[in-house]
Amino acid sequence: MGGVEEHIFNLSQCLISHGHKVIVMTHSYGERVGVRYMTNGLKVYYLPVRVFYNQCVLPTMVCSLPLIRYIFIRERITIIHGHSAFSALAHEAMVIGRLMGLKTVFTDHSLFGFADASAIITNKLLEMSLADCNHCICVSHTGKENTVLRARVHCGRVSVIPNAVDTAVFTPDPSKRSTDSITIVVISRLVYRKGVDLMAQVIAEICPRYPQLQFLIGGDGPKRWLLEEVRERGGLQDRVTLLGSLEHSQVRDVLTRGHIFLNTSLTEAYCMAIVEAASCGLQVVSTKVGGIPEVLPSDLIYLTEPNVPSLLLGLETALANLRSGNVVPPWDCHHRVALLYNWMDVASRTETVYHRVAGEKSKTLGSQLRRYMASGVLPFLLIISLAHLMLRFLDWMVPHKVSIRFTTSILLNI
Amino acid sequence: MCENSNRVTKLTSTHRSVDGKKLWLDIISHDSSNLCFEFTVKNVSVFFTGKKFVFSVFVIVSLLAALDIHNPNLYVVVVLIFVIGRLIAELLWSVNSESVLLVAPVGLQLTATYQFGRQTSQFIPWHFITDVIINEAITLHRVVYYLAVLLEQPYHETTRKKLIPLFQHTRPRLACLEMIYQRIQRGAAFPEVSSQ
Repeated sequence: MGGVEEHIFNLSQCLISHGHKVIVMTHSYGERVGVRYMTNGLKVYYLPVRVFYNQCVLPTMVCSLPLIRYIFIRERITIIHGHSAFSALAHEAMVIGRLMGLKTVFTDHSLFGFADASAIITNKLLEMSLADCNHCICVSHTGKENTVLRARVHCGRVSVIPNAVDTAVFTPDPSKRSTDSITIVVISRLVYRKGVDLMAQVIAEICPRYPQLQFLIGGDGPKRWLLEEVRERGGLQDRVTLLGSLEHSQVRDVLTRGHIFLNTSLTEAYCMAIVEAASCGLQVVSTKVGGIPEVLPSDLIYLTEPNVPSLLLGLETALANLRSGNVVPPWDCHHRVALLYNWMDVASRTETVYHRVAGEKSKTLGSQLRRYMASGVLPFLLIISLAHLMLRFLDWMVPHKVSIRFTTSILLNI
Repeated sequence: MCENSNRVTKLTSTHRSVDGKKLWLDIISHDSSNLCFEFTVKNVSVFFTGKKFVFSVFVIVSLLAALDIHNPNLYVVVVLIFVIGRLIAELLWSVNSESVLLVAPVGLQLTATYQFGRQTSQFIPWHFITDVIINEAITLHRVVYYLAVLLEQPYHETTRKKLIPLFQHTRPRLACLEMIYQRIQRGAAFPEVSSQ
């Protein structure tokens, strides 16, 4: 989840520097409710929406309608940009915005399966919500395929704009690496989909073979016990260090202490972590899943299959190359990544999408309902009609004066 | 009162409240130096000729006419009690105008005037005030701007608060708040906050 927030923050800063007005709308986080101003005048609305398990809100479509409508009119929003398929608030805001005649853009950050119950329901909800979306953005070509198949969006309406990293922050520092041992860094949430089981087995098998190897593991999660068990069993307390959850500002310091970065995810649309590691000059060993093959050039990454023998082979190749000196120097690696990925480029590509979307004509209620009908869930049309009636009622009760001059305001949602 | 003195100036302008009601803002400057001024926000419409009052009276009279004293219908009695109760509540507790009297460096006095002239007031000594700000708050169905006084820690002894919002009942809109804010900031120099 941290990746999406990073993305929104960096994208907002770049758009503000281009002269747009950006508002971020999200639900409340603990005590944090109300309006806050972040760097460069980025306004963030923490709405008092009731939060349930694991920082999620209920997928209502019309419950926050008066408040969201009020904010749209107050800030003179023209484009709504929703992020993350799991964000109920994003879908709600996009539905309401479309009924009010604003343009909508949606960015999908993850890959999803098709087979299990939660995937089927989420895919159907996404299909209904994106039936009338003006444009979609995905973070990799694999992500685009996945979104087009899942949500049945026409591929002409989907663009691919990858994430970027802040290469000014993630710079290499070879002096911090230890000279007598080789350090492998792993930074990820310790959950099943990040391949913690693979990681644990790899550690257990490779440590006896290479006595000068050290592991630095940052991040926390429900599978942490697995790594601690491996540590205990193999007697690797001094060779495997578990750092716990890291603040974003500490990530770079941990990365620069390593020689190799290991990523064992089982599924990934676009991995920010490996780009950050490559930007810090580390060699990257990763499983070949999802959108990872598209991210880095082939000489900066060692791709393996998502099983233990292949990962061991990849790691051993990396170690052998390191020992023989057959590696790309850290600063060269950093410069290449900095050329490939930077936030201003992402922001200008996103702006192209915004310009294209702003030029489209607003649709009448009838044509919107016809678009929603294509998804096949007819009761959804009732919800849309209810939302429309509520908007008409609110137009009578809390009217707004129509301003002729609209500023380009974009609203990003989480 | 002191409107007769030569040094007193009064500026009146019309504004709207957050709900759309018309308001008057009076800025009275009691002194030619910017040390003492008073901001009053008051409702334009008089209560006793307003649509709501006339309608309530009409409803009460018609219910009383429909009520048979010797054999009262329960529902009519309940509705009658409700409507009369609501009318009394409005007479007693609806705020007609609110005013802020700023005398530097004595303090700030907030006064609320109800119907029939009843007034309640609150005084904030000068050395407790850090600053006056305009902030935004999200209520259930709208986002409003409000003017607030920031207080120094340790807390103001009577209210134990860090922030006191002004004009809570009349709730003027941003244009009115900005006028008041600019006059206050131009005039008064608030005491420096001691760093801890």
